[in-house]
Parts: sequence; structure tokens; C-alpha cells
Amino acid sequence: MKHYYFYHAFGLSLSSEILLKELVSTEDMTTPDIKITYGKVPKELDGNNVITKVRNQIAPNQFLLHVDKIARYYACNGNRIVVEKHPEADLSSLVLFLLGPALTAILCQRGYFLLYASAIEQDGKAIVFVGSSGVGKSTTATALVDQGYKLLSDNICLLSVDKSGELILTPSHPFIKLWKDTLEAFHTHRFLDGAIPLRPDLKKYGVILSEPSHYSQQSLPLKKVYILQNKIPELFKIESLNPTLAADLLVNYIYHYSSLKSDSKELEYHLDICTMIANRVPVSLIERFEGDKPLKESITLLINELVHDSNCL
Amino acid sequence: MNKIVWLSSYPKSGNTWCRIFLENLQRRESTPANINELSIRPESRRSHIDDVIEMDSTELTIDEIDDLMPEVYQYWSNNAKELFFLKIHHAYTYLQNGQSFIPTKASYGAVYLVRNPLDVVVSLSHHNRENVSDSLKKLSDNQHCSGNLDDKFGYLTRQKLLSWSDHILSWLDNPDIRVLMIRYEDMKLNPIITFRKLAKFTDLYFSEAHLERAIRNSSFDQLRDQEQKRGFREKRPGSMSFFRKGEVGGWRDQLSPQQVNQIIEDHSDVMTRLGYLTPDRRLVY
Repeated sequence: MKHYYFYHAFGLSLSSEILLKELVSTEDMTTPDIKITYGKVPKELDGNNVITKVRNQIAPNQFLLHVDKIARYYACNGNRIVVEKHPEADLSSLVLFLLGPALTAILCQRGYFLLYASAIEQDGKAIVFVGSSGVGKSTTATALVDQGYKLLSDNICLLSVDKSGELILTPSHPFIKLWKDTLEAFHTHRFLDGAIPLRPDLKKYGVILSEPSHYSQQSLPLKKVYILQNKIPELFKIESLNPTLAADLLVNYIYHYSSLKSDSKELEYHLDICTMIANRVPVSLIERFEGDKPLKESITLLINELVHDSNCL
Repeated sequence: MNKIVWLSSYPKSGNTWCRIFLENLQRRESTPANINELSIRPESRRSHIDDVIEMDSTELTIDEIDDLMPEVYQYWSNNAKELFFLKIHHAYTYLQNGQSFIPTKASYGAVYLVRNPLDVVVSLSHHNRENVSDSLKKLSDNQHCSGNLDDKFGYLTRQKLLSWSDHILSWLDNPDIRVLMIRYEDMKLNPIITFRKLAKFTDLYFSEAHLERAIRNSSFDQLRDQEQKRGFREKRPGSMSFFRKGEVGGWRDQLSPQQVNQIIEDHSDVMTRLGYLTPDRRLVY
């Protein structure tokens, strides 16, 4: 008989045949929202609405991904992931792509609004750092966790509108991915010591935040959004954006924005949320030159601003 | 199929200048193109690769990315409506399975830019903020790579450059795709003839007036002026400027006789083939 592990992530319950140390464990459940099993995965997706890219295919409610010498992943109907393991695969690599593209595909199939962003909690609300890969989202979030704030999400943020019309951030799981040089340059040894390589041949590390004081699993109202950008001037700049400009910029960070364009209803929903964010919470743009020093400066100024905002409450 | 026109070169050989010229040539407005909004992109930019592989490429090893790249190029080519340019610094190499890194079926052809290695080495040392002797070693290292080497984040993935000579031979003598070789020195000294040749190779429509305007709008003074006013996003952090001097023969004030001899020693065959060295070993520029 197969053994299953039970977890929570993105506000959903998961049962998994695969051990997922990165997620928060929960009690046994009869009807999980998402079921993850080992099994046979289709060779390819059929039908008219299939988009075939490089070693992956996307169709309505289906996603197929092939990672060479690791696994083939099939995510479907927003509730099921099947993993066909390659005989030579290492478990850490297999889990990395399971919790990355495969799980995110499930969230997309459920029609969720996802942003490329990391988030922390401040005064019972969510502060979100939006930006593209390499801009410093995870580094900023980790530096703030080091200052006593709680992590809500790293890299992908799930936002929705509740019944009262309030924007809500639903946390992912207490796990941060960082490059080794960033870990050494920015963070205390407690994070460095707990860091494990994401894959055997990679110098990118994962930090599981196991201390309850370091993370929160509670869905929280959105308080403020910072958009992080690397820019040309070698000067740090932070400015409040007007709602029109904020909405225009946020659109660039919608997860899988290009894929959404084929579904006008989905696209409209996503654009509406961007507009809602821009109109209802303050959105600031942080521009800085790339590199450790400007990033450190921006984090220090950010911490000062968050402390100031908190004191003004 | 066959939609990619490669703009290929060893670094610091006029690739960016060439991109800016093509940008200006394709532009309808008479004002110069903004150097920070170039549509001709480098092929190794992670964000574009990630869109196609549906994964975060920073979670793949550099060899895994290399294995995927021919399929990524083919995907871009298959999904393009018309010819498009891609900047590339990779040498023309082959994967372990014998497949070419540059897929023939994705390639329309390549504009291959070369520059006197004596000027390349000086420009590279300024760009990387390193000693000339370090840049010189790179030019002679047949295993040399640039870009992200998977120990920290980089916006670009790894590019296998090989040595300066091997890079050039890999492209010029490749058996599969047609190549137009353009010398930096000819772009500088005979711009109209050289850029016209380049534009014709890429099947771009242009008038003579249009060509001359594009050359004017991508002149070195124009580019340096834009960089001084608004910066240039492709400049390395800490280096003084991207568009520094752009001279032909600027090496004469910068290199020692030993360094010059070393470069000639290591690259004489290719330098002679490209006209940088006469058969009796005299330097042309």
C-alpha cells in the first residue's frame, strides 16, 4: 500500500507520495485539493488547443514537462500531478521542478492570479516585492526575515479578492531560494547553516524556515507593493507610482502573462486585479543599479521605510 | 524555419555598434534609436529562455541549458513571422551528441564581426576592469567562457567563446550556414560601403539616404553622447563607460611590445587571414 504525506501550500491541501520537506506538514486528509503521485505520464498532449514549446506542452487544464534525466511531469485539472521519475534522477532535483513549474501549473489551471513576487508580513498585513528573476526579491525578503519580519511567499505570490472586496495574499510555503554568494553577502549564519543545495550540481541554495517566528501561513490583506527594477543610473531611487502607471507596470510581472493572452476572460480577470492593486494599495518603484552594494543600500532604506510606516500607524 | 540572422562576434568587436546601426536602419523616425531600448536582443538572456522552457533557468546547470538552446533557437525561428536578428557571442560549437549548437534549420545566415585582436584586448580589459595581461590570457584560452558560470545569478547564460582565433575559425569555417564577415576597421573607415554590404545580406529594404542616416545616427559620438546623458544598461557595473574610444589602432598607446608580440605569436594565422598582419608579419592597423 502506498504511503502519502500531507501538506499545505497556497491555501490548498496536498497529498503526496513524495516527501516534500519544503512544505508545511498537516494531518491526514480524505479529500486533498491536490494529489501528487508517481505514475506513467503521457508522451505528448493531443488536441487542437495544445501549445508546444521546448520540452513542455500546455493545453487547457493540462501541462506536460520533461526535464532530462530527472522526470516527466503531468499536471491536470488543477488537482492532480503525476511524476514519472527517471532512473538516474536525484530526489532534490525531482522535488525542485515538482514544486516549481508543475505546482505552479496547477495554480494557473485553477485560474489563480500569480505575480513574480516575494512577500513578508508587517502588522498583520502583506508587503509584496515584485520583480523579475535576479532583481533581489528573495534577498530582500530574507534580509527582512533576518530583521524579524515573517516570510509569506518567495518568488511567486498568490493574490485574490475576498467576499468583502479586499485584496488578500495567500502564503505559499516557508522556503527561500538564494544563490550562495547572496547568502554569504547578505545573511546571518543561521540562514547559511540551514541552507541546502537545491540540486547536487547547483550553487543555488534552499533555506527551509522551520522557526515559526520566521514565517506565517495565514492569508493576509495586502498592505503595500514595491516593484523592484535594476536600472541604468547608478543611483538609488524610490518613488510612489500613480495608479495608472502602477497597473501598467504590474502587468509585466503577472505569472505567464503571455500564455494568458489566448484566453480573454482569464486575461481580463488578471488585468482587473492589477488595476485593483494599483487603486487600493500604495505601489512604489525601487530602481537601483545591479550589484550587491546597491542592493544592500536599497534594503536598508526599505527597512527604514517599513519601520517608519509601522510607527505612523 | 530559417528566420534567425545571427549577429555574431567575439566580445568587444563591434557587435553592439552593429545592432544599433540595424536598429536605426529599421527605424522610420529620423531621430537616433535609444540605445537602452534596442529590440535586437542577446540570445542568452535568461528571461526569454525561461518563457520557452517553462522553467527557471537558474535552476538548471549550464550544461543542461546548453543542451536546450538549439531547441530554443528553433522554437524562436519557427514562431517568427519574419527574419529577426539575434546577438550571439557563442563560438560555433557542437554538443556532446554531435548536434550543432546553432541549428541550421533556424538560421538564415550570420553576420560575423571581427576586430584587430590588439584593439579587442584593450577594450576587453577596460570593459571587464581587469589587467591587459588577464584579457590577453582569455584571448588565447581555447576553453574560455563568459557570462554566468552557475555560481551566481546572471542575466545571461554561459557563452562558450574559446580563444579569439578558434572563435573566428569556428564561425567562418562552419559547414552549415552562410556567413558574411565584416571587419570593425571597415565599418569605421569605409562605413557606407561596409554597412551597405551588411544591410543587403540581411535582406533589409533601404534607400541610400536611409542608409546614410542610420550610419549617422549610430556614429560613435552619438552613442557616447547618449551614454553620457542617459547611461547604457549593457555597461558592466563599475566600468567607466561602454562606448569608450572605439578607435582603430588605439592599442598603440596601451600595449607593451611584449604583449603585442604575444598576441601576434598566438594568433598570427588568423590575423594574417583577416588582413591584420601582412605575410611578412607587419601590422596593418
